[in-house]
Amino acid sequence: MSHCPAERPADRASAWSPQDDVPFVQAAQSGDAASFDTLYRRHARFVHGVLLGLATRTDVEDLVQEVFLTAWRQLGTLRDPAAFGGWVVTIARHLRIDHVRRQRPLESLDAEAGDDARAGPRGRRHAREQEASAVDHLEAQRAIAAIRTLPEAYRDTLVLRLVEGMTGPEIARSTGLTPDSVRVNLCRGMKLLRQALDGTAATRTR
Amino acid sequence: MEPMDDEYLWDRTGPPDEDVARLEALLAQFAAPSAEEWAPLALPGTRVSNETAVSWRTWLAAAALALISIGTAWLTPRQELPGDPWRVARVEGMPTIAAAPLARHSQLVPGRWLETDARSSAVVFVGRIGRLEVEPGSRLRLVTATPGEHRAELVTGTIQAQIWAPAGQFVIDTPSATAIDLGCAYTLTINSHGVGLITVQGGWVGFEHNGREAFIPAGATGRTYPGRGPGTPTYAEASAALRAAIDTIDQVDDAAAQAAPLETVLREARPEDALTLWHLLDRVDVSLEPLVVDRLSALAPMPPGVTRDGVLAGNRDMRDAWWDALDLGTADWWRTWRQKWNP
Repeated sequence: MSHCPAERPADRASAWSPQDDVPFVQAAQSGDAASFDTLYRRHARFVHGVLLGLATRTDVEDLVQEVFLTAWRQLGTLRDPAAFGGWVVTIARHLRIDHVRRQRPLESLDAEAGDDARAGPRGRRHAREQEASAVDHLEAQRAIAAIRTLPEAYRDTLVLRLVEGMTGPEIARSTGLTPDSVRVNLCRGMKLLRQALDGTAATRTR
Repeated sequence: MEPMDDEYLWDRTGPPDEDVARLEALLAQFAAPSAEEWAPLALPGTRVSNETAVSWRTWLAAAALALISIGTAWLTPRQELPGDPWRVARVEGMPTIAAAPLARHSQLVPGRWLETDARSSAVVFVGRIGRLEVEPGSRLRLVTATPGEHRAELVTGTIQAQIWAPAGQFVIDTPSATAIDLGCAYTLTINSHGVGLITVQGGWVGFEHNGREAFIPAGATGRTYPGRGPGTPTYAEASAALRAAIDTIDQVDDAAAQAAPLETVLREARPEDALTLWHLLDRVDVSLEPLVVDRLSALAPMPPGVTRDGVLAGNRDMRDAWWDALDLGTADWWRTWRQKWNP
């Protein structure tokens, strides 16, 4: 039986450290668009995960671009280049709040399905979806809906882990949270998600 | 749902948790596109402009036209060359390509970075001409991958290369020199300061930077230094005193600083260290060159047509002829091919 640790060492090295961003941020601050493109592609998945907690996937890809365009315009205000990852996430969270305010409270599953159907540049993923069984698709919709009902800290962490495929150490590095905090969020979030899914019978059939 | 294994939830170590794995599979369809799939950002020309939707579109259209024009011009003379892609396989850990985690197998396209952290490594198949092992802590960017021309940039870390192509088809740029494969196997390490160390196991490698050259045969090592270029190669079996003295000579320019270590080198040199002495001709202060020429001549006599005065005058043909007489490979290869690598 597992337990949610209050504190536990995180011993696996992350693939990236914030220091890796420094030369790219400095070059981008001098106007080098190619370096900024590297940062964009490096952090887009993480920003995508943060936004996915509240916005439909169609909106998310547009919002990711909006986040990085905002970051590009404001890059001169970033004093610590190593803080770029956390900084773009802050921008993402602000934009997410604005987005939710001006959009419907939270899209219904049907609406998201409609979004998926007209998601042009997401052709590869859409093709993958078509290959998935209808049951799996429904389960996936319910699972993401259940995650969206969780408190923000758990919601973001679980999306990054279960949807974006990031590991706990990677999430810690990207968010600036301590590994211990991420671990607790994952564990407690997963516990709540299990309860939510058990309640809706949304997980696999046994 | 069953209790989870939080080690798997944490970092995928430990036995897979059935529920977590199931959710991962279900939710993968919502994941972000891979790094390569993200649409390019339409960045405005300056970060402080108050761009409008119209100016965005105008900028985007202009950028697209420019890219198409550049791309067409760039590609036209190369269209007869099909690509010769680099395939990448993950060995351990989680290497990345363009900052995205590497699938078990992937391709590296020109312009993209392959990076390994302290716990990851990868194997790269260089088109049809060779193989690289990219060790932990490395950053490698592919520049060109066409038949007959494979070029990459190693910024930091270590690669072990085995190249079976004809000489000159595989080139690695480093912060301090360009390494040109001449049909060989070698290990190249670039440290965080841009200093390079190459150890050649088979064949030989040419190092070049701003006209400064080094030819490194099997069994020898060579360093490169940012701003200075290739140092002087030495054999691994050379005495430690000789190798230490060479390291000193390579990093100073004035005769006073070079004199003492040069004395050590001349004293310690064996006949096979003619390799080292020949390179010193271009590296020591001009006032010290006669000492090197005389010692080298004692270890490896000048071939016909090569004179002491000519060598001291910097006659390139004579120096190359003396190199050829060392029987380590012909300088003609290098002189012919380097035009292509460093036009």
